Formats: sequence, C-alpha cells, structure tokens
Amino acid sequence: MNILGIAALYHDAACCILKDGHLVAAAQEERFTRIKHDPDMPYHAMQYCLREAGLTIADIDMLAYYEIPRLKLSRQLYSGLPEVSNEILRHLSPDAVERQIAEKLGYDGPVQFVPHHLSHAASSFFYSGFKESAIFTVDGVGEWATTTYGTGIGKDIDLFEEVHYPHSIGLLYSTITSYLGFSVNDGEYKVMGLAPYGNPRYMDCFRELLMPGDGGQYQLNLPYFDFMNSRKMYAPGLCDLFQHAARLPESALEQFHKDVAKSLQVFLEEVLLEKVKYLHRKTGMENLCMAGGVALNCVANGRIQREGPFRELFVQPAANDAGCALGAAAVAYVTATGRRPPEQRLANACLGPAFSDEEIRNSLRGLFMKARNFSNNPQQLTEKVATLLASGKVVGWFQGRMEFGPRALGARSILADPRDPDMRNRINAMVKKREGFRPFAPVVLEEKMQAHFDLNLPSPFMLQTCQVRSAIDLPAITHVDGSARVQTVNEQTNPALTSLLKAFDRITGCPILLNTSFNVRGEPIVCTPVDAILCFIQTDIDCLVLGNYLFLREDNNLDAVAHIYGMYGHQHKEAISSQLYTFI
Amino acid sequence: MSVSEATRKTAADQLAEFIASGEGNVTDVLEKMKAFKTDNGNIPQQLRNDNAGKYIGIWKEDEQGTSYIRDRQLMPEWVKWAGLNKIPVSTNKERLLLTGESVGRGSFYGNEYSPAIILQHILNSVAGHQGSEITDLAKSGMTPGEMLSLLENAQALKPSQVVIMAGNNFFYGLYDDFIHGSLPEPLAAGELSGRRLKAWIDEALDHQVHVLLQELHRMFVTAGIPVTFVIPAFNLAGWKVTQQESCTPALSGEDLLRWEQLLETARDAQAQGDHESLKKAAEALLALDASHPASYECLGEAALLQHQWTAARQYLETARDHTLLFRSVGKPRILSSVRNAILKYAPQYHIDTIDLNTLLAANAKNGIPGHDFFMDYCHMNMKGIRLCMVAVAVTILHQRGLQHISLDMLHSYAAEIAPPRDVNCMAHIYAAIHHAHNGQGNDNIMFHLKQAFSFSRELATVFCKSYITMVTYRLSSPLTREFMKILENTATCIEYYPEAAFHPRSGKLLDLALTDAMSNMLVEAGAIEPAATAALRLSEHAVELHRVVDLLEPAYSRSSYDNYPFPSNYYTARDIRSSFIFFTDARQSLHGEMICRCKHANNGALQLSVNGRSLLTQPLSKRWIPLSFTIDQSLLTTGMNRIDIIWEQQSIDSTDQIAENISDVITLLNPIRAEIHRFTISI
Repeated sequence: MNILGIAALYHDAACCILKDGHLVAAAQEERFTRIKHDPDMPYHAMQYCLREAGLTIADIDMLAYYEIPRLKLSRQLYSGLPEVSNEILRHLSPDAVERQIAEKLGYDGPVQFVPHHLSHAASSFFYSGFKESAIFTVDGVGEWATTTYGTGIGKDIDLFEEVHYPHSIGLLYSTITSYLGFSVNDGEYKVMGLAPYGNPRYMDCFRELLMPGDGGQYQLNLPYFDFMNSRKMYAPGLCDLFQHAARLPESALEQFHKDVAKSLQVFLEEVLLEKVKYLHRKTGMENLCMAGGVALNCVANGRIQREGPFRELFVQPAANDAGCALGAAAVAYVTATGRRPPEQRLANACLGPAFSDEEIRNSLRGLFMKARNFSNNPQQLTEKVATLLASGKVVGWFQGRMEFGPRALGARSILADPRDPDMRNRINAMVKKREGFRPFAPVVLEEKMQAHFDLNLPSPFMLQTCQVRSAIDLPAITHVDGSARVQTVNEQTNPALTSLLKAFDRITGCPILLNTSFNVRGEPIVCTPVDAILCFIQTDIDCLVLGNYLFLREDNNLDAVAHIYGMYGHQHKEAISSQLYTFI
Repeated sequence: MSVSEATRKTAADQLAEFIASGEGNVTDVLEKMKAFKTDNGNIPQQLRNDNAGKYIGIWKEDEQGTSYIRDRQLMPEWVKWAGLNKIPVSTNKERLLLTGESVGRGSFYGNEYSPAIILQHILNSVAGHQGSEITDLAKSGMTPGEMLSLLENAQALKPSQVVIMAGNNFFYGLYDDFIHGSLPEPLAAGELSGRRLKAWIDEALDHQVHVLLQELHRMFVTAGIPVTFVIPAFNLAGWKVTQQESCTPALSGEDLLRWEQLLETARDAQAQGDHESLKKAAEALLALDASHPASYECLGEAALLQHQWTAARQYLETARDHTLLFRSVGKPRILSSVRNAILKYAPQYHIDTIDLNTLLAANAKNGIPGHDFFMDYCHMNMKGIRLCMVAVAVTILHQRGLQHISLDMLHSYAAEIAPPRDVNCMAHIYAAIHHAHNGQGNDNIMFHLKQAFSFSRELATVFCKSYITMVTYRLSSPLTREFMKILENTATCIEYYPEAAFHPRSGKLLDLALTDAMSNMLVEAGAIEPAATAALRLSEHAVELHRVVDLLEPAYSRSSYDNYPFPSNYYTARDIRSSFIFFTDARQSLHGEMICRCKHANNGALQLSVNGRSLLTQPLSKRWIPLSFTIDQSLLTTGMNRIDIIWEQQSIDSTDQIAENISDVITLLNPIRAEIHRFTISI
C-alpha cells in the first residue's frame, strides 16, 4: 500500500509518501522550486518522495489530500461574497483540486480528501507514539474550522468540537503581525521574537479583540478585522483601539510595537492555556498532541508544557500546513487498512533528500571554488570545523537528509559560537540579512541539556522555549528575557552534529552551538549542494561544510560572482501575499 | 440588499453546492451572487497606487523632486533599460522621449550602441550641441500596458517630442485576459481551426493597438507634443520557423501520416534546391492545415529558389504571421495585424508613423531584409539602426520645421558612431547564442560566429573556448571556473547579454548545435583538437559516471528554449516524434526505464530506436505503464547516443470535446500525443 500525502494550493505545499504505513520521505515544494512558501501542486517534492521510496507514479495506490475542496469552496465564497470575479470563480471550482492533481502531478488514481484539521490532528497523533491522547489543533483557517478539540485512541481520531471561521486566534495573530508591519504567514515568528522586548500593556485591547465563549469557543470582535474583504487584515478600528497607526514595513520599531507584540504573545498563551485546560477536563487524558500553525509558537508551547494540565506534549515538527500531508496520508492508510500506521514517535524530522560525497562531487564538477576534501578522514573535518567555530567563524552546515518543516535541525543549518557577544548582530546583519532583534536558537547535546537549560525532556524539534540556566555566558542564543528555543541532539538522531558538538565541547567546554536555518531572508532553506553554494556566495558565512568537503571563504574570492548574482541571478520570490492571509 | 452573516454563510454554502453540481456556468454563479450583496460591499474599486508618479521605469523621484535616480532596489531590472543613472526633471535642451521595446534598446550592443545614441548624435550634429536631449526610456520586454504606465509618469519630464519603437511584443499581452476569454458560443473540437484562432488573435491585437494610440493621443498629441510611432520590421530572410513551431498539427489518422511524409519531402527538396517538388509538397501541406507556418515557409523558400521575390516575401510574411498561434513560446515579431492596425489608427490620432517594413524592403537585396539589417528576428544591427534613426531624424526635424536637411548628410552623421571591434565581436557571439537558444539552425549560428571571428579572432577564440566548457558542465553555468574567466575578461561584456550564462533554474541546455559550431570555428582556427568537445561531453555526462541519468532533464530532452508556452511538470509530447540524448563509454549494456502513457489518443503505440536502430515497439495505455528495456552494448556508440521515439496513434480523443474559451481552443489545437513521467538510463 503506497500512499502519497499532499498539502497544496494555499501555502507551504508539501508531499510525503507512506509505504505500507511507514513514512519514507517528506518535503516541501519550496525547497525545490526556491519559491518561498510555494503553494503549487508539489510535483518536485512528489518526484523526490517517489525516488526515495524506489517507486513511480504507476505504483501509487492512493493519494490523500489535506482538505475537502467542496467545504473550502463554501468558506471561500463566504469570504469573497459578493466581490468574487469571473476569473477567481473559474479557479474556485471544487473540481480544480482533482484537475490539478491530474494535470500537475500526473496522478490519475483514487484520491481521498481528508478534512484540514483532521489532517493536522493526524499529523500529530499518529506520529506521537501515544496510544491515546487529547488533540488540539489551531491555525488560521482550514475549510471552516480554525480550532479543534479532540481525542486520538489507537487508530481513531474524534474531533468533537470546532471553532469556525472567521473566529480564529491564528488570524488574530496574523492580523497583529500585519499591523506591526511584518508579512502575514511569515512574520509571525518575528512578532514572537519581538515580544520579550516589550511589556504586556495592551492586554485590555486584546480582550476587546477576542472574547471567550463557552467550552472551547471564542469569538473575534469582527469590526476590528478586515480580512474578509480581501484587502488587508485589520480595519481602521484596530488602529483606533491601539491609538496608533499601523507600522509601515521596514520602518523603525518603537517600544509601542514591542509592547503590542508582548501583549499579543501573553494573550495567546493565556487563551491557549485556558483552552488546553478545557480539553483536559473534557478528555481526562494525560497526553496532548498539538498541530496547526499556532502550534509553532514555541513560547506558548513551553508554557503549555510547564503550566498546562497534560503530562506530556507532542508537537509535530511540521505543525504548519506542510505537515498536513503526513496527517492526510495517515488517515488514508487507516481508511484503507483499518490499522493505525506502524510509526512509533517521530524521532527525526530529516525526511528530505541527502547527497553522498560522490553526488556532491559530481554535481559540483567545474565549480570555481576551492574545497578541502576530508572524505578519507571525517573525524578530522569535525575537529577542524569545531576549531573554526571556536575561533569565531560562522559555518554553513549541510549534512544528510534535509529537514521537513520550517525549522533547521542540524541538516541544513548555520552554526556559530553562542558565547560570542557580537555573534547575533553579525549573523542577523551579514549572514541572514534580517532584523537585528531576532533571536537565535541553541542546539545542545542531549546528555548535557539540563546543565544549561531548564528542560526536563529532550526537545528534538526546537518547538518549545525554556530558561537558560547555564554557567556559561551564552549571549548569542539567550533572548532578552533569559529564554532560549532549544534543540537537543543525540547520537541516534544526528550523529554528525553530535560529533561536532562534542568536539566543540572538548575545545571550549561548551556543548552548545548557535543554530539557525541555512538560508537568507526571503529564501527557503537550502536543499541541494548548489543551493548551499549560492547561499554561501551571497552571504558572509565564513565556511561551508558539504558532506565531507570544506569550503573556506578565505580560500575563495567570491566578491565578483556575488555581485553579478545580485544583478542577474535569481530573484527572491514570494509565492503568497505578504499583506493578507489569502482566503480566496 | 443587506444580509446577516448567517444568511451570508448559508448563501455561500448553497453557491458552493451549486458550483459543485456543475449545473451552472460562471455567469449563472455571478448572477446568483448579486443577491447576497452586503453592506461591506461598498469598497473602492482599486487601492490607490501610492507610488504613482514617483517612478519612471527604474528611476525614482528624489526628495527634492528635481531628478529621477536609478533605484538600487530595482538593480536586477537595470539590464533591461538604458544605463542612465539620473534623469533631471528640467533640461535646457529640447527633450525627446524615446521609448519602446528591446528593438529600441539596441540589443547585444549593451549601452555602447543604441538607437537613442545614434539619434542624439544625428540631431545634435544638425543643430549643434544645444540641440536635443534624448531621454532613453526603452526597455527590453516592454508591454503596451507597461509603456502607457511609464509614459503617464514620464509626462513629468515635459518632453517636446515622443518617439515610440514598439509592436513586436504586443502579442504577448494576449497571455493574460485573452486566453481566458470566453468564446461567443461554445464550439465543438471539429469546428476549431488555427485560421479561426488567428482571426480572434488579430481582432484582439487590433483592439490593443487602438487603445494604445488613443492613449498616446490623450497624453501627448492633445498637449501639442508630436508622437512618432516607429513600426518595427522582421528578419524575413534570416529567421526560420523553429522545430516547436513546426509541431505536428491536430490531424488524425491518414492525414497525420501524410503530413509527416510531405514535410520530410519538402525539407529534402529544399536541401536539394528542387523548387518544383518543394512547392508541390508545400501546397499539399497547406491543404491539410492552412494555419501552419512551415507550409508558408516552404512556399517562400520555393519562391526564393525561383527568384520570385514578391511572392517569396508574401509567403515569408504569412509564415511569420502564423507562428504566434500559441504553438510555441516564440520570439517577438511584428505581425501584419499589428502593423496594419498602427497604420490604420495613427492618422486618426495625428500620430506620425515610420514603417520599417517598407523602409528596409526598399533598401534590402530583392526587397527581403535579412542578416544585412538584423542581429536576430527583430533587433537591428548597426546598419539597420543607422537607417532607421536617419528616418526618425527626418521626421523629428520635420516636426521642428526643419524640412530641407540633406539625407546624405544625416547618413554621414549616423555613420560617425560605431562600437569598438570587441563590442561588435561579442554582439555577434551573443546573437549566435540567442539564435541557438531559440531554435535556429546551424546556418544562422555560423553566420554570427563568422562575423564575430572577423571582428576579433582573439576574443572570439577565448570566449568560445570558455563557453563550450562552461555549458558542457552539468553545474549551473555561473558557478563554473570558465564563467569566472569570462567575467574577469572585461572585453566579453557579459552584462550585455547575461542570458548567455544565466539560464533558467534546472533548465540548463547542452547547446549542442551551438557548441558544435563553436568547436568547428575553433578547430579551424587551430585553437582546439577536433575531438576535444566530444571528449569533454563524455567526461561530464557519461551514464557510467552518474550511474543513473534522468533523460527528462532539459540537457538531454531539449535543444532550445522554444517550447510549448504552457509547460507541464512532466514531459508532454505534442509532436509525434520525441528525441533524447545520453552519453556513454559504450563498454557495457545499459538499462532504460520509462513511465509513460497515451491518455488522449486511441490505439497508441511507441516505436523506440537507439542511434537509428529499432529497439522496441510497445502498445501504449491511457494509464501510466512502466517500460523497462536493455540497450545492448552493440547498439551504443562511445560519446553521444540518441533515442528517438515515434508516438503512433490512430486518432486523437477529442472529437466530443467542447471549447468554451480560447485556452480550450489552444489545448485542442495542440493535442498531447504522449506523456512521460520518468525516463532514466542507468548502468
């Protein structure tokens, strides 16, 4: 039984493949097309998944799609009434999804459509390893649902309560993201990162914007929002409420913006904690599975883990829409076989393509850059890279299979010394080319996590924050409020990075590295060796490690080619609107 | 009527149900939606464009409002425009705005040599240095809509005259609204034809031209600013119909076989100079499909062989007019419908015209312009630019009341400026690359390479050696060592034609025809060994090196960027023939795997041959089927090998299909013969 799971046509299209229920591969389309958040039918991701599984399109028994087009159409029309144009209507047909599956993927077999939030729920529960668990999904919007409450027992998932569009805490977060001058669907992380610089002075405003309801319900105070008119997220009333005009993108960040961000974050955490408590009361279960874009808010996750009523929390690393591909495929497997997928807890998010040294060598034949080859002595490479990191160098780290989901977890990462007080500013400005306030995350050896962070359980997917309690001063990864978004690694899940951390620990006494995604602002995380080379050329990264090859900036003159790439090379492409959560 | 949110939800649900039922069409749904208008519906039609007037193309108004400065944020766009850093709002000279498409930019010469430079020189030579200031606002790829928006803002520059050089790109404006436009009534597949499609296209282009000229009149003519419209010309003698443009037409059964035989007969007759057979075959082709450019081109070639220049010109113009029917991406060109519309409407709006079609014909050998005036399909060489700009200068001077300037004098002024030899050399090399990338054959490629070598043998040798190696690597060209050599050699002026190195992502071609031609030139010059290029290809692409080679990669499945304009993710064959190449050391047998189907045709089958020797014949299915085959070592050649597939089919499965819009028409006129989802060769 070979099942393709597909999420597409909204944002962050992705594909995964289940072979007899086992998750063999998963990837987001953006990594292959280099179009950030690419929503198109994930043909390239699908081709990769098929190759990885040793299958062809002719071998696929079922394709599982992550939402119900007919229900979504109803909500889309509701959002667009009465201004939907002739042109938009042509694309709104519920047949459009099946047509695109047939035309763009070339798949002409049976398709199972799985409700959006059921896909989210399944993407967490079936890969959590829990036999039973409460399930909480929260995102912008699916078909109609924006928040769901449910349970998973064995192979069965029951979503017993839903909050419906337009009432959505995800859309509240996106609206404030837009009001603060950041891009919707992309800038929510920035708001989360900005929050610790502020004070929660505007909690009353948020209580005006979102009103609690019975049980799991809540309501947005709609006159403050404009997203249904497809022009912008907020209505003028929102500016009146905060007594402040919206921030223009790229303009200066004032204390007001930081305070709004902080208030939003605290308000979100309070609402989620309240709803989680409600879910616990309803289910009486010990475990909680979360999914949906809001479940990527690691600060809120940390509070739910620490202060919530559940004993254990599992958040699937691709908790956003991309992860729905996993859930839809798992639901289709259950439908077809009557059995739960045989997956234990997802131990590793590295489900994408890998490149052997031979493949790297062959794909880079003729490259103008000089590299040092450590194929015969990988340990020497590890020691060398650890030494470079200890001497303050920034390293592009490209090893093994690419991560699935928005986080770089040590396969396509930029690494640096977390002890360096200038490192955060340097990487933000010269490497990532992004806002200076944004924090970086640490990666730590699992066996030493408790000595440095307030963590009781491993955090392999960087999906919760905790306080730093290290004896070592770690300014580059410690946020202004003393927190950090920690990833833990061990020998089983990431041997190469574990070796590097050990080597760095031997040299410096610090088993921690700064870890951020290997990309520049506006681009997806790198996928192939060529992507990594291009990113290296266009940034201020000092060293690049591709498998067992080491490239040093000092060995290569990159200025001329960086300039000409800036002029004539690829341009950053955003596949979705940055001003509006795209409903139609 | 105002409704509650609950009613709105119910309405949306009912509408969704209605749409899902498939019982209504778009118009029905829109009609139903009117009933659900809410209070929120009162929203301005368009958000105000805050940037209106702040930009003129890539130039942004400075804070003082005295100049427009090239915006660094738009740096990737700079290459499409003139190299001006600053445009002052005021000038003490008479300002002439020159805008238009790439034909107004002077492609391949960079900023060394352009129509604006020549025109300025001529006008200043006539009137002294205080005479004129030409503000060059031409842009490669400019569409009519873009031009109007640009000119709307450029009124701030207070021009005294405006010159437009445009018309080649107008067809590309049809890719948006036109192809989604509904037909007056649905038509069955049998009622469709290329001729009918062409009539709709011509009508749409006529309308586009009318709107453009109307707007030019409103913006400038009514303000007393004379407008001159330069109608471009086409390289009738030189630019050939491409393989994609010659794609098998939508014929079935015996007609399809007959078409293939006739085209082959025509090509053979043309090669042998047999005008009688060529004409006979071409007329028979025309009888099968009156909209196919290849038929008209064959008739034109036959007329050329017979020295029937007027007839040849007419056929070649008709071939040109039938290329852009959405069969291929094609390249810009002036279509008769656009030219005729400009000539028809310009007098109504008091706009002067210069028709290069007529001008070049009067100055070309036998009245058919070719490489003597053009660098490619529409971009002119030095001779063409001079001739054109003298004609423009005459019109401009007439508009200024200077009517007795000697034409010879103007020509001599125009000839005073010429680019350096290195720039000429590189312009022709880049033209050769452009020809190859757009499906032109060896004759055209060699013409430009020979020109390049004649301008600078040394520079052409250095560049071609690097280029062959650069494009032969699988690696993205700008990351290669050879590109660094090209970049470091400033004489190559790579910025004049960056497309030579910056290929589409995952779209790198092997450029076989081009690099073969370059190799021949280099071998002749004694710069490389005859077998060097073949050896390089083998060392880089051998199946034995990569273990598995994906034949659907563009390097192995395409020879140019002239493809069907609505590409599929996987391989779709619209021609009944497909070709692939691979490289091997031929020391062992190889394994092939293909996943293919023939969804739209009945009784399909494929015939697959390797290096001209038949390997297998296989019935095809409407569902994907895997094919696995072994290529015996005896069939292989060391170096490049070729797989040819003929997609046999009895009939196309479209007789009961209905076209509701132009997009449907295009699909039905360009049927898919077969599809391949995966095709690999491995050791």
